[in-house]
Amino acid sequence: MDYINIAIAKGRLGDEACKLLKAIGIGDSIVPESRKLIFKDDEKKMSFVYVKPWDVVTYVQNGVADLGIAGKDVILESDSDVYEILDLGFGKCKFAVAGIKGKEIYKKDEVLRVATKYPRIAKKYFEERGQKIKLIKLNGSVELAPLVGLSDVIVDLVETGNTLKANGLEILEDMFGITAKIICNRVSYRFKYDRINKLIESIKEWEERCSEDN
Amino acid sequence: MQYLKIEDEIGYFKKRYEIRKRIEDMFLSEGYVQIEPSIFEDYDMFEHVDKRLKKESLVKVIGGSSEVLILRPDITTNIIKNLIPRWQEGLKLKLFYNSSVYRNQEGVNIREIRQMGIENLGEDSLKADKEIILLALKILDSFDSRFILEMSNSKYINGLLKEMDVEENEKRHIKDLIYRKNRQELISYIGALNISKSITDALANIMDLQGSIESVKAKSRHYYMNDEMMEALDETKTICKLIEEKGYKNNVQVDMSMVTELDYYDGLIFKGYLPQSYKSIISGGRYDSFTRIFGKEVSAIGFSIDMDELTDINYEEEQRSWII
Repeated sequence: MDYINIAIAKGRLGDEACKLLKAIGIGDSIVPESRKLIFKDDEKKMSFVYVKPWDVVTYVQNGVADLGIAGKDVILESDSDVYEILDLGFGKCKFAVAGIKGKEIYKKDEVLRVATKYPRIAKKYFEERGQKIKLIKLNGSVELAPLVGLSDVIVDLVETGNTLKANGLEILEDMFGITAKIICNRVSYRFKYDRINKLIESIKEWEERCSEDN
Repeated sequence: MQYLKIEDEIGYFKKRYEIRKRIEDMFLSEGYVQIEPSIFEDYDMFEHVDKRLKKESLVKVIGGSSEVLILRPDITTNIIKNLIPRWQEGLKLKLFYNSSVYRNQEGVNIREIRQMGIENLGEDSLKADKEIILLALKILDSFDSRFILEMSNSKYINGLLKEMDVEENEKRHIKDLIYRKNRQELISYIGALNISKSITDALANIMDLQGSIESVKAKSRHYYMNDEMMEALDETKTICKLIEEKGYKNNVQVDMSMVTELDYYDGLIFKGYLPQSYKSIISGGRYDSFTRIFGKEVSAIGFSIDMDELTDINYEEEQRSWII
């Protein structure tokens, strides 16, 4: 029997994913404290790789991993051709447009300067709303951009809003919420249909049990 | 692909020729005739009929008198556009091609994509469906007996969408979500639209309609709403019966939630996969209504084979067997 390979986003999402996999009884081989990047379970024919969140989609799309656990943010940003078979409920946060208090977002005759780590998402969002923008792609510390005059607003993920507040910014508009997802390679889905379905069912059952306990 | 040694490059070409020859022989023995579509297309015409291809992806060339042409981005369109306007009642054609299509691609510049494929025009639709499916099965089987053919009928989803009184772009979004098998977002999206409970149920459960035809038919019984959807299930059943008779039952999975990248299909649709590859090797379907754009509705079905991928996996396999 072939292995089922799962690519997991390193970091907070990965820790949650590890808890979930252990809870449904397939993650015994994962040792989160170790610095290993790959874990194999020969008995259950499962293997897990820990990769950068942005790379999960690439691993799955190219079939190196059958399944992937990643945030909806990187899935949206990477224009991938994969199945999004399950919502995992954890990793909740939201996309928002933020800026200096009172800043207007929608201006008919003016181009809005938008700094973001997510150019694709920002472009699509403003296109749908008919606002012309100039994109400024940054790789981090996006909050700085409006402060130093690099952009009018930013588009970013917001969890608590503390970073925004600390830098004197506020949410000007909520865009949409996101969570962690299980994605699946389109061909693996066919060849390993029964096993993948079983895995998804057991996650769903576990989620139901959890919500009953609460 | 780039090669370190000349021998490797020659070896790759040799492999490609072998594969091409093998498939060509199968086409010829079924009575298909080769055609060679023109490499140039008129830009304005193409843009007019084929809106699903992005303009940026078309490779433009300027002719001597400054007219804008493009290198063909798709072969089926090329053939149909050429033949249908001159179509005579009662004509039957079985054609195959072995050519390249050209697309601009971010990062790679112009990409040449090699395709082989067949088109069966003017034949009684059921007869042609059967013939095409069997040929696709035979080709896949000749490469690896563990292949999977994924099959559906686009009339099922289209029939269901017809029942809904929503905007065109909302329908497109629903199709997109089904394409990504994104059940949870689909349910919350249609929950916000004003549609009846029976349609909501049919959409929410559409991804359960996968597996063998018996289980799909049993499950879908509660959901069908019009003749078009019933037709889709009946046609699928007929094809499945044939597949079973030919001994390919275990290679076929029905998936009524299947959505194709190209939107012009209206009837049988299918994709073929091999275990060594993570791309679809064969994809095709019935596209009668597409011929209507060119003046006449003609029974038309066909498929194309991704020759680059097929050569790659076979070449790699051969290399590996050398090493071992």
